[in-house]
Amino acid sequence: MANAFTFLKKILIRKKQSLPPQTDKEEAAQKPENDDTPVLSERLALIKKRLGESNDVVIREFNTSRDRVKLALLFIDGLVDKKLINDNIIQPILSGTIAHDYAEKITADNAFELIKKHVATASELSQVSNLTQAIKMVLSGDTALFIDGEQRIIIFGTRMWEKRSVDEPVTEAAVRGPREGFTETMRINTSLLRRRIKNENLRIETMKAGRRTATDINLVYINDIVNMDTLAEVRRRIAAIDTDAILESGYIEEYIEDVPFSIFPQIEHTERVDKAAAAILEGRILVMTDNTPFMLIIPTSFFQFLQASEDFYERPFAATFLRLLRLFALNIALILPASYVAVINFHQEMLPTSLLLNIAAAREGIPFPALAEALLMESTFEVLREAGVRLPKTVGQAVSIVGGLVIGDAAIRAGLVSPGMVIVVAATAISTFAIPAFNASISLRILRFPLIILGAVMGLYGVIFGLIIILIHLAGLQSFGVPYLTPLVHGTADDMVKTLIRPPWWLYTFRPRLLNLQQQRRQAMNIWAPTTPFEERELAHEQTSEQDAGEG
Amino acid sequence: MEKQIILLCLLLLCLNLFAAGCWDHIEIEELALVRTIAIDYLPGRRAPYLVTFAISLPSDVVGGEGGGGGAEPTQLFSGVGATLNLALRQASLNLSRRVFLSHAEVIVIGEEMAKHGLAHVFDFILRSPQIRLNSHLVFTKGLAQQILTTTERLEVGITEEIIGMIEQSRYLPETEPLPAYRFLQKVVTPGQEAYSALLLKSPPLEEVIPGLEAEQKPGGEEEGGGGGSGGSGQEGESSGGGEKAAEVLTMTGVAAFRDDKLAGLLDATETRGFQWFLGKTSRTYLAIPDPEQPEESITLLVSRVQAKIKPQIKNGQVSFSVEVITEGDIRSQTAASKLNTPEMINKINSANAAVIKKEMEKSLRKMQQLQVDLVGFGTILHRHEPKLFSRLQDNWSEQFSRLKVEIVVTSDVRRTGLQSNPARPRP
Amino acid sequence: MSKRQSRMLEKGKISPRQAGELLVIALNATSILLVPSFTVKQLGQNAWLAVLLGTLWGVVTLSLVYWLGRKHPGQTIFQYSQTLLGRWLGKAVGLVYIWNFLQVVAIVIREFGDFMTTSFMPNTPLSVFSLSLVFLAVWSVYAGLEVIARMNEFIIILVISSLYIILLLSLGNWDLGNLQPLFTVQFLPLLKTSLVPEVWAVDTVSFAVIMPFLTRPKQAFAVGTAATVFANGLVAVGILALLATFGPYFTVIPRFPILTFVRAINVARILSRFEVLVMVVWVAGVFIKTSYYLYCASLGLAQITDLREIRPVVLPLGIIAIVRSFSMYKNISELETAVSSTNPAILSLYFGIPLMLLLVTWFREKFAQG
Repeated sequence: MANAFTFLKKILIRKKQSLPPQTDKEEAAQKPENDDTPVLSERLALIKKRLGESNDVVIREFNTSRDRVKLALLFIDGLVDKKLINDNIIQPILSGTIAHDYAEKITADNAFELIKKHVATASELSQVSNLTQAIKMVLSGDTALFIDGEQRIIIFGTRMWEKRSVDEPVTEAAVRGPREGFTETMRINTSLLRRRIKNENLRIETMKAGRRTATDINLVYINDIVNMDTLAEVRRRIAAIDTDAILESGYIEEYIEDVPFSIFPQIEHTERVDKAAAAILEGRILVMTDNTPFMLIIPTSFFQFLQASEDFYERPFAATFLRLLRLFALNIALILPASYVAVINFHQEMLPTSLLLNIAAAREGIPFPALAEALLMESTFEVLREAGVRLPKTVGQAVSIVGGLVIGDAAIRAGLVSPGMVIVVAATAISTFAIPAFNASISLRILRFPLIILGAVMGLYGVIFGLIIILIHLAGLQSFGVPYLTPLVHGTADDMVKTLIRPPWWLYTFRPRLLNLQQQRRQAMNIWAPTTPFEERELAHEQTSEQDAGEG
Repeated sequence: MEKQIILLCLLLLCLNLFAAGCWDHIEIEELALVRTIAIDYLPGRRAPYLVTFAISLPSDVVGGEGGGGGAEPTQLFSGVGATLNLALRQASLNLSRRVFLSHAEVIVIGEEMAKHGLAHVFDFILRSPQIRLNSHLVFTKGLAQQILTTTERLEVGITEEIIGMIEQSRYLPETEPLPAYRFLQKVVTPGQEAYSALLLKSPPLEEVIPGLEAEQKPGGEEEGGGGGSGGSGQEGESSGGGEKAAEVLTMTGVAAFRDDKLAGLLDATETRGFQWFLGKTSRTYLAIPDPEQPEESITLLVSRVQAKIKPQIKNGQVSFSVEVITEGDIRSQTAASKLNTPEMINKINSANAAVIKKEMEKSLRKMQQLQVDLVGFGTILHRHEPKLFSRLQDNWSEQFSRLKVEIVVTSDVRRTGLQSNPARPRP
Repeated sequence: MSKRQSRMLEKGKISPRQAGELLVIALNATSILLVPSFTVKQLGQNAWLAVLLGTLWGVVTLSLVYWLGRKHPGQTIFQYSQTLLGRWLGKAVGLVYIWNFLQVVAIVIREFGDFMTTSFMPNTPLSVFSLSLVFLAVWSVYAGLEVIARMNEFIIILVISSLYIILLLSLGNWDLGNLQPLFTVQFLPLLKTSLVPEVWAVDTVSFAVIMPFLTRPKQAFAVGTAATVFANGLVAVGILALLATFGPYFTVIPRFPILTFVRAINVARILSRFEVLVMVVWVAGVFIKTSYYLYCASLGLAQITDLREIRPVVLPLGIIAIVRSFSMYKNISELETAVSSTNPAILSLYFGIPLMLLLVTWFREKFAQG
């Protein structure tokens, strides 16, 4: 029993655990070993032993003129730009050592320096000091040049492979805004970001995670805005990941979340480049993972999930209207089925008489009680929705909608469910679609079911009971130090108002306060617009915080 | 930590409580929707209270065809008992569903019940968590149950019929149905007496022209339903010849109460009379004698009314002065006089004022005769001179019956409709 | 030592505005339910004056507590009473306050359960409401003061706006003549009624417990006064609305006149029948009040018994509160009489003890100087 307690305790609370010792034999074998020699032939034999007989491992041996220096290239076919290797590595070494007077000068001792500094015309070049590192880089698509008699190895940056072109993000289509989405290649992604933020303070930090996948992870942030403590925390948590494989950013998300067992996601992800750039400019940190277009945004708050990037491109009234609509849809998606079940079972006095009579008439002859009906219909719609995702795109939309309608209608005719319930479920389903973030809408879909049960058990009191439980959880949830319900609670009035309405851009003078950024001010105050009371207070706050910073 | 485990156990415990039985969980098809409650008192019995429910039955609309939307037959169930709750219990023995009173929008109370005293009814209404206090109270002559059996009506359900009449009566000062809380408020407030609309069931025309139907009808009035005419509300239509006339509902006049017992009935004109004091007589028609030809009359439509009641204290004696300012439009005349001149209008004004004043005085006399202060003079006195009122409070009804009220009416006829000159035939 | 203690027990900080909002909910959640009944019974149509006078007492209490808080920064009343009166006497004083807070929790639970059972769900046993409410309260106290304050920010918007909406919608039923005769009340009954704890905004004394956790304690007085005035003003307006709609003689008849009030709202036949919605929002307000008081009681007990963490005492206190709520009053009339009366013991609790502590502080200061 005590074991069960301690086990549950461990998995429910996230604490800093010490990393287990590496016991894997192969890991031990991969330590920088001492059987690496500068002798080329032995090295090559070692490479063959370690990499095996994979037919995409290419070893190209060649010598400089008059066989003075023996060289060998190692690369993985399919990961490299062979033209670059041919033209900029092999050709200058071979021809260079003939045409220029290096040919006479080159020896085993100075080959390294010569080639590195004078001969090779490749633009990216670095060096490593042992075979293990070299193999690691080769596996990522670089080319290693071994020089007989030289311990050091030159690494050329020659990465090129088949990649998906930059296309509209599939999951986050927008009406207005750029249609560029991230791809699986890190370099393209960073270039997309650089094109948008041409500031010298944009930093791209690299880490690696996953023992066997060695996935590149980049932290992107703006150095003089971001909160350094948050950054350090992110670094610490990612560095603590010790696992075999990181195939998608979702893996990382699970490893570094604050409360892994919460239904609500504490890290946002996006496929859109403009959304990522906006987040970085707001002072958040972007975690890019290789081989996936989904980037993580840290920290986040609940109301981020209700924002779509086109909110900020459309005009204020339109955007405000859409935002309020989404808030309304959020409520409907979560509460409507539970309220419906609660009202018709407990609080019939709430309904207008004619509505009550209609519903009662419609429910004549239905074999199931309202609770069973609600759960049945909701589950059916969830299955339909999930099925719609797997169907090919051309067919999927139509099948989902038509399937829903037809099934709903047939169920009514068969006398299984009442029309009122079908309407409620359909309205709920449509409202769920209105929520921009997929991970948040899943949370809502999950939470709907316990709320329905509570509503059937205790009426609207049960529903409010469930909602309060959710609220307690949300109020205590934090995403990397930022309270989850920011800015509606705990924020400045300025930020609070901005969750509900979208003021014009010239009122967005300050960045979100609760991120505790180094620089709060986003833009100059618009000299043509009157100072809003919020702005005045913010300015005063700015001054006092400067004073505080000066004092403390 | 362990707290989380403990909380989990507590949650399971709580859920256990919930799952043990959802106590208030009622499936919607288990409900018998009571729309109208009729309460009667049968004196001289051990179980004198008679409660009748008008229950709406939802028709079967599964499949959505037929479009029978709204077709709800109403079914009546009754029960008797020593108290209202017991009567309710007995009535529910007849029911295959659970009684649900939250949608009871009308409570009809019979004459005997009103005469006996409504204390028990008030208690029943107030204590029940289901009955809403903004359901309307109406009274009737005879048995309230009879009202619910009226078959000749415009609406399909009897409750809709009554509610429709209540809605329409908002534009008519000849009657005033009150929601229960207003009625109760008037009962408990000193210096005021309660009243509410009177709902009568009679063959058409009988209320309007008493005696006419008695000539035409061959037999007595033993039946209700049967042949005949449609129509409801204030204007009846004549039934076909000497056939047995179907009875329709009429809402006219009020039942006046002293404390919680019925004191008397006021007819339409008397009701309108005391509505003048309250300033609630807009949109009613008045017939005044034509100043030049007193046998003919001119009909006015009252468009605005304002009434001010002020207490006057002289030597410790209380009297009231009432000032009524009214505006009206000329709607028609039975003769063809020229009404367009300012002198004529002035004469019409004074005639109007005289008519109104007469109506008010007549109504006041009736109220004083019944010793019911429906207007609320006592309350007005209390608001202005609380000390004086507290002295008079105990026998205010008697004081009221001797009260001197001075009425001054000012009338202003503004418009004459779409006609300026009469359509006089030219020789 | 005490500063370190308070930092260990509660690491969170709440802003003055959040503290003010907590106070508003504490004042408003249950008062609108029972206060109109007995104030109108005692004072008739001038009942709202008692509420306004009660604001004054609340502000007086607040000022006493505020000065104490400024004189002993970073300490709750449980801590500085020990400093001022010695360990055991101070602990006794703290115990008195804990008992009082727990009493409030028990009364709230009982009121809440009674209300729900009589009005909305008659077949449900009262224990279900008590247990579920205390369960939620215990959970949120575990989560901490910050969490309670955050939830309150969200809930208070709902509660206040629902009150506004029902006031607005009921305007059609108002008859301001019902409020006459005005100001005919005598001073002594007015005073007596205004001193009833529910009317009197005694919840301001809870600031003695949470003042050290404010980010800017200096603003506690301003914020607390604003909150008291606002909350009591709202109650006064509610009573005015009740009187205007029903008149003073009818208001005392229903047990919960505010329920009848909401039920009477019928605008254009569409906007009616939402007493259940009001109930739902009100449940959230009651939940916050219960959590808040349970938190004060638990913090007090933890500080008096020199515990490191608040968590061990929360659950036992919650259970004690439930048991008290059942055993205290046998039936609802007893509850009503208890709630509507005042006695010197209560007065001494809210006036006397802070005053005495303040005097001791003052003496100590003089003694230290001279």
